[in-house]
Amino acid sequence: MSLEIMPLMFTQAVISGMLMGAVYALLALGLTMVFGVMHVINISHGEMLMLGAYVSFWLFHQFGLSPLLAIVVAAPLMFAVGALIEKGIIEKVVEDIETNSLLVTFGVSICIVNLAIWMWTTDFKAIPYLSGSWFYGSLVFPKPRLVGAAFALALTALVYFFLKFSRLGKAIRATAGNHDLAATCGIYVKRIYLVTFGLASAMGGAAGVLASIMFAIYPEMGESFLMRSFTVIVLGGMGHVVGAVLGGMVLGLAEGIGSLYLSGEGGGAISFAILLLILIFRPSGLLGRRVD
Amino acid sequence: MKKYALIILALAALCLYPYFMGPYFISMALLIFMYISLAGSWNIISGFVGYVSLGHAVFFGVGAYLAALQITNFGTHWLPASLLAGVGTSLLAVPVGALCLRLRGPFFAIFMLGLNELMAIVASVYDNITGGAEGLSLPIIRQIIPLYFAMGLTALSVFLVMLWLESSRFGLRLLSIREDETAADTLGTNTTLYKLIAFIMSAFFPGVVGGIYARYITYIDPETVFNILFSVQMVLMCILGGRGTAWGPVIGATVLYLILEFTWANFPHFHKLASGTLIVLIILYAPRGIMGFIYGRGLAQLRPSFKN
Repeated sequence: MSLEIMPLMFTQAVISGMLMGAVYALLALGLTMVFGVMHVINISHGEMLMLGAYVSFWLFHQFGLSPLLAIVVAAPLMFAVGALIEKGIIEKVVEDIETNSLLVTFGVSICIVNLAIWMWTTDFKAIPYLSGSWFYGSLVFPKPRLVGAAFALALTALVYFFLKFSRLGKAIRATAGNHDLAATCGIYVKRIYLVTFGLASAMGGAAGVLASIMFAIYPEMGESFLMRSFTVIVLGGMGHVVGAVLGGMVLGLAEGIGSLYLSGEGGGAISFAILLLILIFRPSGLLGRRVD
Repeated sequence: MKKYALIILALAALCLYPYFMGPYFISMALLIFMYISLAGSWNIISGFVGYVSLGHAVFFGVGAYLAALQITNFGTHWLPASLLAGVGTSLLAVPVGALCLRLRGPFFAIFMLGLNELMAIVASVYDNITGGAEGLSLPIIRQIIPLYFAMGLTALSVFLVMLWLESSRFGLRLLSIREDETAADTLGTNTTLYKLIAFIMSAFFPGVVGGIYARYITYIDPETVFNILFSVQMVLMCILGGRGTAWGPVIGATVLYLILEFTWANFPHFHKLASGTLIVLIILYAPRGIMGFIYGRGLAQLRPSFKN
């Protein structure tokens, strides 16, 4: 079998992997931000992606709105959902021991998934948008993946520059560094938490819109994405923004290349295997400091 | 003396129970015992040590498969098969724990969530051994009462282990890890070792229970035994009763099972929805569970295991 894998196929796999990796990076960025700033692992982050995908599906079928424009609706909407969850629930446990915030987001995740099943059933849904591929020589670029990756990279860059240069972004980074010190400098930490969680949810929602043109949409789609984003942020180093992008690319690459050798369900195990290897050999991630 | 008389009376009542009750009520008690064991096992690693496992159903599922495979392939009696399944899940816990418990923070929680998914995939992919998505069918059972006693004894063992943890030096070491792992480490507690031992203990019982359950239900497939609902139930029952206490999982499992049995049993999605909502509400408003109301503030001071 391995003899039949030509250099061309390999290049193709690398390309598709990188394209996927961009979407992973966008999703994982939200997860890593919430962890970095609030020290909360948001188990319900995958559900933000799922909700974003349903928003995109709904807009497409009701109004024929292009999913790429749906980002403009889905991201603010998911920001609001995230902010509500933060204000109503997470804020109350953010100062508690980690165990409590973990259990709470787990509960939230179960709620959202089953609410979605109740409202939209477990049927698979899809958006027939941007089918077909572009060709460059003998390389194939599936349109939805290329466009999705381009948007994911653009949004990731936007968030990066926001964090790097804007006033609010600097306040978020200061809070991530030391929230007590940030508070003494006049930063309203509670509001930073709210904005961070909202922003992370908006990124999850945007990633969901992009995922909606590549994958089937169903209420439980969030879980596999949550696992992947977790692998991504462990790869990149927890709370590390550039690490999330790097991690997303590495995971995308590994899955792309792995898909040449493994089929179907075996592919899902790749992310898990990477997680295992990183936990064994470099628990602080590729770019991170030591965790413990 | 009065206390011992009460205990003996309660045990005698539980022993006589199946001989006076119909099959529906025997099954009900059996499942309550099962949930007590599961919630108690979760309590050992997550309540006492403070490492939250979000995929503890993995040990239940692996145990169910290990026992079912022994029964169908070698015709083993279900009792040794279940015990061996428990040994099997304990062995699985060694590498998993050695890898994930070295790390603090939430690695462990998500790792367990993923492990459960992975094992469900393994069970469906290797269909020449496990029957794949079609699952495994076991021969019909003739007697349910022995299963009742086996499940009851498992629940009792888990309860005794938790009682021991509440008062022993070993238990106190686990609690010290939960309260401040760095301090415990500094004071000479071999935290990695103790965490691993606790994790193995909390993996053994779900394996045994899974084996007995497979024999009871006579049909298993990846969808049912690796269902996230089991993990959710373990978490919910334990925190409802009270984390880090011996009585918590017993009370939580019994109360919640009875509520679920008579209300949401026929609406699986509402059942999960309600479970998720309850987890959030309990953590926000009653993080110490029912035991928090029973012990109150004064007794909480006396019981070191009882905080948060």
